[in-house]
Amino acid sequence: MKVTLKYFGQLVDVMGNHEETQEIDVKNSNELLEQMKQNNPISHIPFQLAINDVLIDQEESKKLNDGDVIALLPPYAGG
Amino acid sequence: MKKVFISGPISSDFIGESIAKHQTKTSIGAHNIFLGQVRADEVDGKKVAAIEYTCYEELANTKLHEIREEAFEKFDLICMHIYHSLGTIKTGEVCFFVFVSAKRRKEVYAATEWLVNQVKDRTPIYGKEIFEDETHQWKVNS
Repeated sequence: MKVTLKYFGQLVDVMGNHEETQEIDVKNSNELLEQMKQNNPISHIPFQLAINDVLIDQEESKKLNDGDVIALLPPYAGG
Repeated sequence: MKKVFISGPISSDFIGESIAKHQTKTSIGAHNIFLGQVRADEVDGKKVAAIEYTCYEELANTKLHEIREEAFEKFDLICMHIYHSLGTIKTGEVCFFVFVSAKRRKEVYAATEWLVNQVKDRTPIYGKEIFEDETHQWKVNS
């Protein structure tokens, strides 16, 4: 399936862009995270996931669907 | 949905006009304003020259809407406005403007502090601190 990954904050520097579309072969958000952490140096950065603009719980593993937009959100720094 | 994000710094004119717009709302007896200004922090001998703000706008707007609804439930307010800059804001410029109005002063003090904290804690906004030598680091809220 194809998903859009959006990166914010420090993750923009590490991933080298703000957004990318990727063909992924995983069933859920936990598997995606594991795969991403294996392939990229992001384990030291705390972040939360949002799928299609909705935040998901840290512990929760959500089923992913073709066309999903997945945002990786480090701690916020507004103000 | 109320517009919160402004491209570039929040000008004194904009703030002044926002105040003036409330002169017709004569049930208001107290306004309170919080202004966040970009500070020239020094890290390892390098000085911050500007902060470049970005946000996850879809989620940020949902969160700001929730915060707004909660504020009206929690405090006896007549109106409230939140504005936050996006893009590059130089040191000394205003990047965050919270404006709360109520009948009496007690409510506006409490509501302003609550709102500022909620926006910082719950809204996906990011700040890239750009140093004078053009290197950068990502802002962390304390």
